[in-house]
Amino acid sequence: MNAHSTKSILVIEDEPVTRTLYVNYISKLVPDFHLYEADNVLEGACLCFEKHPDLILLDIIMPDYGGELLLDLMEEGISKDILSFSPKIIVISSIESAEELMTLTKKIAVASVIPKPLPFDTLEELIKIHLQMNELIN
Amino acid sequence: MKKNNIRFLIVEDDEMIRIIHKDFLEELFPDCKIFEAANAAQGICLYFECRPHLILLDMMMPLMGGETFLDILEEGHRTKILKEKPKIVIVTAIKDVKELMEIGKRFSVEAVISKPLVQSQLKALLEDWIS
Repeated sequence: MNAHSTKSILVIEDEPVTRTLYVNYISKLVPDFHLYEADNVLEGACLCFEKHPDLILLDIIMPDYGGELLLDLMEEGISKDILSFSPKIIVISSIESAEELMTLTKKIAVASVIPKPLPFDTLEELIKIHLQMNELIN
Repeated sequence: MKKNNIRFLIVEDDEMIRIIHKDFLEELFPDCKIFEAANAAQGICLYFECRPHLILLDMMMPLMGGETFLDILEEGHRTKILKEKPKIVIVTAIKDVKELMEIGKRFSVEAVISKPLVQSQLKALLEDWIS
């Protein structure tokens, strides 16, 4: 968790319109959270390690490096006890094969997998559950 | 760089080579701190957690290679997320001259040394940087 009491969310999505959509939605939902944005997973990884967000929204299919890169990094970092923090990662994926989805779900760092286009109601619920925002659920 | 409290990161999949690097560094700089990673994923995590001053980086490793390590640090620097600039020494078995030249141009890469490592080469570099 964050050093400060303010929680933070990192959005990693290459498509600018989609990213803005997510960011606008989240900033309305939780206005006092810090929001970080990355348009590729390399930048996303740097922000993740530098800012220690509580929650990450991660697109899987992106040019060059896909979202799996961050999952691989987190998996090694967590399983080898290197990392001092462990964000909840919500993977946003338009992958349609069940097998691929299952592989994603099994990764250590993945808290949830949700389909694309994003069902915002589900996202809202997931954010509240993963950040244990009980007061917001009621 | 001051030799007291200097931090090294060794990113290398071969455990024997890691031990050789480590022994060598410890002999040269008895007060140093050394962190070890068996692939670039562990290397990146250790980099951000421990902020080493100097990195010995292998290029070919299973799961994640040195190329990805460089790509991440380069992007961190480009986007100004990363403030400091470590010194990276590539230790590689790659023989292709063009490929070696490309690696030499990458962000933070200060030297490219071929494998098997000639310790006197590395020693000369380190003594130049660290007082």
